[in-house]
Amino acid sequence: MKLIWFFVAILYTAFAGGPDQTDPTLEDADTVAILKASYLFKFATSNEWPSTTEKGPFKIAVFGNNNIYRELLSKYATKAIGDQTLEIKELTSPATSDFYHMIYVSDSQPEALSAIVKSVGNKPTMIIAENRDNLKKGAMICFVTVENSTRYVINSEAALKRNITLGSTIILWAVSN
Amino acid sequence: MGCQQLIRRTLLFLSFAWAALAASAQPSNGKTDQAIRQYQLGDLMAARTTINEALQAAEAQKNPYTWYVKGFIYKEIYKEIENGNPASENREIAVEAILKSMALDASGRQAENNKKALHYLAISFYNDAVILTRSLTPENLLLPERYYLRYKALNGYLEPEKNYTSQDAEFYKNMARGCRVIYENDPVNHPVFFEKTIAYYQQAIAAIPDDFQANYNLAVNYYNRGVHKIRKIDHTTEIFELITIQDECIRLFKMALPYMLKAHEIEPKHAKTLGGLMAIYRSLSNNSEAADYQRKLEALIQNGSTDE
Repeated sequence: MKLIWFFVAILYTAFAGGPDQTDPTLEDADTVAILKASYLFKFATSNEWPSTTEKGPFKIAVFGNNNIYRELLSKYATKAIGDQTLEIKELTSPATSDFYHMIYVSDSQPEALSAIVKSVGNKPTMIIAENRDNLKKGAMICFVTVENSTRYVINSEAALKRNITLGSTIILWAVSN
Repeated sequence: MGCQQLIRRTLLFLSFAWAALAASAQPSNGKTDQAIRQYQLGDLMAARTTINEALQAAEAQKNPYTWYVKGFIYKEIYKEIENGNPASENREIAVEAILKSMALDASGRQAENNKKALHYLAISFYNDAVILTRSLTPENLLLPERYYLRYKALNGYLEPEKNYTSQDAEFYKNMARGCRVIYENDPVNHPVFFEKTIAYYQQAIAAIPDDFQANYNLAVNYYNRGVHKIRKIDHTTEIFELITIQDECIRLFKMALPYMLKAHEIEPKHAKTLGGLMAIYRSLSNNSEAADYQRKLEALIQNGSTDE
């Protein structure tokens, strides 16, 4: 009988218990990195590079943001850009002599962008950076925050100089400079 | 019948006898006594038939003791034969009989027995509500609340002044947890259960605005929903979709924020809340606020504080 009342007491107090196994756990995710990686993939598929760069893999390099690199790697590495396989690399130094179709430069190291712009020279490499101001420093596309949302601005002249044709959808959805 | 059960029934019989004596102003008829004896011998079904026959008499229908005996026998059927089946009709009949007894018992002679029986029945509804929230399905969704409200209604006869605010909050939190599990197990077929999760947490917060767990969990549910939407983005997602999905997620992150801030206000030293604020602000591209909460979190961890 005592056992029954003990059981009843347990049930009676069950609601008063603390968090149990059905409490939600906060998702561990860098949502901005996921979005930026998705944008980078769309930039790769929606713009046109000179035909001379259509041999071998389509190469994307990421500098200064491991989360974007990992997201690109896990979600898009097996996808193709046109007839080209996709190759994703994380740069440990802004000085690079290899050719990349796209290089993303984070704002973690302020001097990195100019070093990458210098390394790239006149090659048809699309440089993507953070903040609108970097359009003037050699970036072709910059991520900007508009009302908490990640969007992008473009520098069409810089694209023209590097012989890259920006796709109509990329131009359409860009935020005006 | 086991020895313990026999002793128990004998004691109950004595209790009936005392109750009958107490109700001497309205004496029971022979059928009632017969029903009690049948109960004592373990023949609950016969006891049920006999007590119903007893209540055919106009005199018995005015007797609170007869109604109490009916309630008691039906309660025992619910307990012993139906093994506490939540869908038991006998329990409902027991409740009605006990309430009838209470209504007729102007002298209060049956008050103690009625209260005991009603308390047992009220708690049985409460327990059913608790158990069902732990195994919630789309099919039984409405039952826990029905049982919980039944418990409150019956307990109202026993504790008219009782404040249910705290129990309400816990009940709604459990409903929210159950709905979240349904949603997360099959979000494609049960998207409405996300909305139900939110609604139940909001009801818990309406009951107790300073409930840490309700505020924290509600914020996490909003935030996670946004994260799940963003994670669904893949190579087939077009630019315009990417922007639309992002806008939806920003809305969810903004909805999460006030609840996470409230949770932080309630428990400023809670590491999970600081982590939550960091994540929400980061998702809203508010890097300065995110960095601020990251510093607070790091300081908390350095001081060796934990959530537990």
